[in-house]
Amino acid sequence: MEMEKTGAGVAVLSAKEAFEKLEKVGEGTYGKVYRAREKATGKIVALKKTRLHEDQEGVPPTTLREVSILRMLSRDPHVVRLMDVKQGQNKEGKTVLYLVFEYMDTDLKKFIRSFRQTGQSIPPQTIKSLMYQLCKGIAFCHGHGILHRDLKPHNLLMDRKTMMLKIADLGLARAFTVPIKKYTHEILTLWYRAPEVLLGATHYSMAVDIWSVGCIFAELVTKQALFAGDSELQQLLHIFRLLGTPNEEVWPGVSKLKDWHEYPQWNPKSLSTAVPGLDELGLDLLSQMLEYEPSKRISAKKAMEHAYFNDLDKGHL
Amino acid sequence: MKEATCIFHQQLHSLFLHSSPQLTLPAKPPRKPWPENESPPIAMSVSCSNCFPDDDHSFLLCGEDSSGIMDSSPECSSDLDSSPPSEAESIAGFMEDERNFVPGFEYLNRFQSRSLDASAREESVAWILKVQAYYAFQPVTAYLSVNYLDRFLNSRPLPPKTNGWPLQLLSVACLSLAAKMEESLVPSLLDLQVEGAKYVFEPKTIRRMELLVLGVLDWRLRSVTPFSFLDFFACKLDSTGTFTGFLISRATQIILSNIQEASFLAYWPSCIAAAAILHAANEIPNWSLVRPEHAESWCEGLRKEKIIGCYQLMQELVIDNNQRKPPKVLPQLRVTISRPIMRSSVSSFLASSSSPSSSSLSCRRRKLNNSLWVDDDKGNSQ
Repeated sequence: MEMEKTGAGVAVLSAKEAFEKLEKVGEGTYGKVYRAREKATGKIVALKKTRLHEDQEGVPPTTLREVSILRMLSRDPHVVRLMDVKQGQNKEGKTVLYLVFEYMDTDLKKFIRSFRQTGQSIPPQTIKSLMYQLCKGIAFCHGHGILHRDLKPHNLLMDRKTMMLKIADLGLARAFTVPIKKYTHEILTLWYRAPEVLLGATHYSMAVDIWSVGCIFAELVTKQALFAGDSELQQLLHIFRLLGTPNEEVWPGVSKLKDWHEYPQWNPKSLSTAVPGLDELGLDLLSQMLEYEPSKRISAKKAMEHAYFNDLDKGHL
Repeated sequence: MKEATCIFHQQLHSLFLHSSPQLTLPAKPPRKPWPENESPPIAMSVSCSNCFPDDDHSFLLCGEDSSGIMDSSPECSSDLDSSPPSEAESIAGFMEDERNFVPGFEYLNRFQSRSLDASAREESVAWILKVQAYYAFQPVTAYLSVNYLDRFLNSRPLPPKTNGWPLQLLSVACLSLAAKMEESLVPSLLDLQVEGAKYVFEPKTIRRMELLVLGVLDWRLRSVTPFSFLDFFACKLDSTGTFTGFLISRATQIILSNIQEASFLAYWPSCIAAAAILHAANEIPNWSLVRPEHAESWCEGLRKEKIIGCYQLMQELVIDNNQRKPPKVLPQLRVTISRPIMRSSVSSFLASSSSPSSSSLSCRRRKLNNSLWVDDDKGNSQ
């Protein structure tokens, strides 16, 4: 099912006529997400429902950004496919938009949790495959001028059978020019938030996504969040305890960032203490993803070329 | 095609079955994000005089986009920016994508053959630019609005003999969509309709028009614009970063002041960006003349002939603008008033000799009554 043209003169089925809702699978800022069956083909899809409040401000910005970005990126196998946008009305006669996505049966958060509950480790080759797919998807986004800004396991959808990983939830994603200009820093789930964002930088770049990828990498290995802070300050302190408190020597310009204060001084520890079980090449890649200085952080494209992935069969990915 | 157009016209008219455009202004006057006694930032055209005092280039920044140009080190790649290889990859991606976000060449031909009204388009674009200046929106917001408007008109001609309300409704919807794509703070749909809007449309009418535009554009709002390329091209031309701030700022003004001109529809965003940077570079005193041929090497896909054509068109328009209105002279900079400026703002601008700084603007924005603005960039939960 290709994305419909909703322009003039095209007869289209409403969402109600076209789909049978099977179950609610989640809830977002603007509405619910359902697993549904497309009546014409029997295909299972995910329906993301967005309410448009009648007398308010039109289509929500997050919906606009998410859909328009997906219209550009959906051709990549590692970005969730937006198949259609349908317009309908709810019981009260209010306009509702349905975003029709391919259905994925789990996400990385649930996947990691299932291993944690059984006490098993995620096989190293599985971690490698998932990480490669994530880097590939992010490289594609960055190559088309898109920062995701909210990468976390919950936003990485998976197919358990094929072990395919796809980036989803681009509601916070932003287009950027080169170099990146000012953005709000109140974005991104705390645990996966880059230190430059936590310290109030408003000029930030693709490197914020790479930091998140590094945190996810470590979490795949240990099945625990690498830096699990419950406030911005605690989040920074978690990072500093492991990687050492940054200074002008390791990160030129850090003390000029808006929210920089004098912090307790910690020396850097070896990453292997926090991520035992990751081999030497994996630790090397992880250390490059968790570089303090954003311009020194490895790019997604370079990460794909890292020796850690040398023994991976990339043919089907 | 005729049938589809007919259905489209019916759709457009049905927008007004329950809500015709009102000629009254909203009861509550929209709030400006700055005090009453100050004028809004002005889209001005700046040329530098024969020296830069104390190497401080901040006076060259345009009101709308001064934030972020000069507040990092002058090198082209600051600590918090992406490294050059990533930049090149992104630029290659923009070059690959830009063809998908421009109206076809036949659209320009329709203006030249007068089957589309160039003056009506010019009026709409002028209004968009006024609102952009009024709310201190980013330049890219204005550019995107016009891009959506052109792509829509390329696909769907508006019904004739309607006193111009469909085009104004389209302009409001396009500006609203662009602001929601790019701005962190977006005025309410009623407050967006300022600066001489002839009609004031109800929010639900605009929302329905937004959906119509989204359908026609196939939801492809993430357009590549000249601003996607400016920083990269400026750094290619001036690797030391000495004049980068000026080049970007001036090129931005050139692009915005020419956006009303339908002739620029013949050129793709990368070409417009390259020509604007060259134009800005050739205004810097004591710099050796930079020729359009130089730009071809900046990245794969730039074509010399196209850049020359675009550059010449920019030169013609600068001469044309200068003939229409003699430039006002200020100490250290020459300000050429370009068409989108609200005339009433000019005298107060000249008196203060600078527009409000971006930092004070953002402070003032925050003081706005929250009910009038949508702040869409807040973080979400885990």
